[in-house]
Amino acid sequence: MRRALVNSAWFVAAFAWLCLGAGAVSAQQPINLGMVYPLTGQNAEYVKHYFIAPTELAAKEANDKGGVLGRPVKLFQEDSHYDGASAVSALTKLADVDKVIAVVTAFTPLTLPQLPVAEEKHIIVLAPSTEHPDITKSKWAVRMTPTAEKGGIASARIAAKLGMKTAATISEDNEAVRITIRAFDAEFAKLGGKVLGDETFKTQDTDMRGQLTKLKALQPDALYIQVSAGRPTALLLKQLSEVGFKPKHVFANHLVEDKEVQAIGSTMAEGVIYTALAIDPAYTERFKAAFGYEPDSNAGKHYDVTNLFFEAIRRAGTADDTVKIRDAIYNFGEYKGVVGTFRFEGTGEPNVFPILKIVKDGKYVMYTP
Amino acid sequence: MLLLLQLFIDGLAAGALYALMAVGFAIIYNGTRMLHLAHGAVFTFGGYALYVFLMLLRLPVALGLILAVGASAGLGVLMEIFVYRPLRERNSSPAAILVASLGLLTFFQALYALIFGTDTLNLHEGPLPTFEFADLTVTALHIVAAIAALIVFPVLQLFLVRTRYGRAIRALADNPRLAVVRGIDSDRLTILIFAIGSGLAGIAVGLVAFDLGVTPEMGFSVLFVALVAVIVGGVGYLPGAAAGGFLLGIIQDLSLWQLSGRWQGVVVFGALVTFLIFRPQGIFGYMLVTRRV
Repeated sequence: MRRALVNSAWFVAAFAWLCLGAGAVSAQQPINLGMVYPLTGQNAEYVKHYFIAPTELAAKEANDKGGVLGRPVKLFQEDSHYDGASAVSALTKLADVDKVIAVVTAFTPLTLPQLPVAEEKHIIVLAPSTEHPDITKSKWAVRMTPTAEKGGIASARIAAKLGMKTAATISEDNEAVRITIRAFDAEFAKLGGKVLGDETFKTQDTDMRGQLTKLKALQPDALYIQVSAGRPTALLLKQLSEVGFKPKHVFANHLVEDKEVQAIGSTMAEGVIYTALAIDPAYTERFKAAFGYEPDSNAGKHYDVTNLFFEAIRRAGTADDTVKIRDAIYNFGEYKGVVGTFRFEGTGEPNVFPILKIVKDGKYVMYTP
Repeated sequence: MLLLLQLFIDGLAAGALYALMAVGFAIIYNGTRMLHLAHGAVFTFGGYALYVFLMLLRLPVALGLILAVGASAGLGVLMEIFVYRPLRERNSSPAAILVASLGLLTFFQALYALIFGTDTLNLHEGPLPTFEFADLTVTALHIVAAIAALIVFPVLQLFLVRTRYGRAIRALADNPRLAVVRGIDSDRLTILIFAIGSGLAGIAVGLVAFDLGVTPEMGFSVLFVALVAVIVGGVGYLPGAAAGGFLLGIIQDLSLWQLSGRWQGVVVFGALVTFLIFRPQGIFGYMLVTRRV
């Protein structure tokens, strides 16, 4: 009897030690957050500067304050090579080997293929800057930007308001971008305008002079540029000047603020009206102090989504149950970020519309016609 | 009509780039029977060398260009001496040499990214100077490409036809064994072949670097089109490679007249498939009867 009691006591002690030990290990275990981006290729430098850097900043700030729920945040990167299949492989590796509970990613062609795998593995896909409406049909995706058509609609409205009767578009051959262009064309036509031509180019293309020459021949009042990274924006603005194409107005998105445009010559962007989200100046200062250059809207979105994720972990009270974390995001209500106020009411779709800015005397300022 | 003419002019400039790469590739292939895929890495190396000479060392443009061409030639020669020759001496199969060449391309691409980063390194700020001529727009790139083509190809042809070394290269391309029996030092000549072919890549990158900057993977896409140009023009015939390059550049840009820009890659593939099916010997395939270089 006594022996049985002693054995039981040992058993209970061992069991308690295991539980406490496991708890202690869990408390110190990092929160693994993955990043799936093209780390090579034409978009690589933009990704490094405006997608990875803000997430690193958010993680560092969290870790400096003792982590999230007392656990440090650890970041993992995988290269998706701007290819959907590679993005899926990257996500799978991050989930199965690195045990991430969420990934931050970008670009519609890379994000959409990841969603079925993320749903199967219960990985939260934080895709703050992807604009395709189908992204947030998934129960595991979160976005922090207006959907694709809103940018097109806003640009069409301002073009019509400025008296543009005709327009042409040049855009990257990308699913989300096509939605933006279709929305622009439809809204512009609805407001009495006529779209004379739509030209496209592949993501990896660097010479768009032929397409710009073709559009120049149509003599549109306005040109709408829509791309998904800074370098094509810079090349388009440069080659626009080289082919002598001078529409009355050029409309674009926030990528005119990109470093690449500044490197090639920011004067080329002078007068361009573009859709963006307003950036908190205090964040701009912190970001610049950390990295030596200013953030753009995308950098703000990636920073915000990372912090939203951390905040959702705190609200859920767990960093292990991704269902609870996901639900905490979806039912967050109002989240005040550095690029605006977002409302999450049951889905990963925020309720936000872009603002308009203009490049004036080399500065990026709010635009009111 | 004006649009067609403008697209034709744009296509000529692109064609000059493809022609230079294609001829460089072809001269190496004809002389060595090796598919030197690392030619793309040599092209990119020339771009980075140009960046170092002009932007870091602040050398005059002409001197920087000459040195960059020399640097490209040098890298090509080093590849021959330290990679390809040892493989040939061990009687390695063509497949092994091809894999080695692909390995070199991948290795150097990664090395460039490691040393210079993945950022685009710009050699010129702002748009290129342009000139209006009868409602047509001609950029400095068009002019430089035209000058390069007008000088390089005739000089190369003269070298191959009129000089001792040029005739030796042609002899080696025609019949390597007979050339060796006749006393031609194939090792030294192969070094010269690599120097010339890689130097042409260095000239080609000069047409691109000022316009688009330098990136680690810039050589890959140009190499692919150059390969297609060699096939289209006729494998084994250098003027054919040049003609193939110009033809591809022109049809790629002219296709924009009726097609969207997303179809440009399809046009290049289409040209390749068409020639492989209907004229696998290329445009100048009849010249292969005498195996003229």
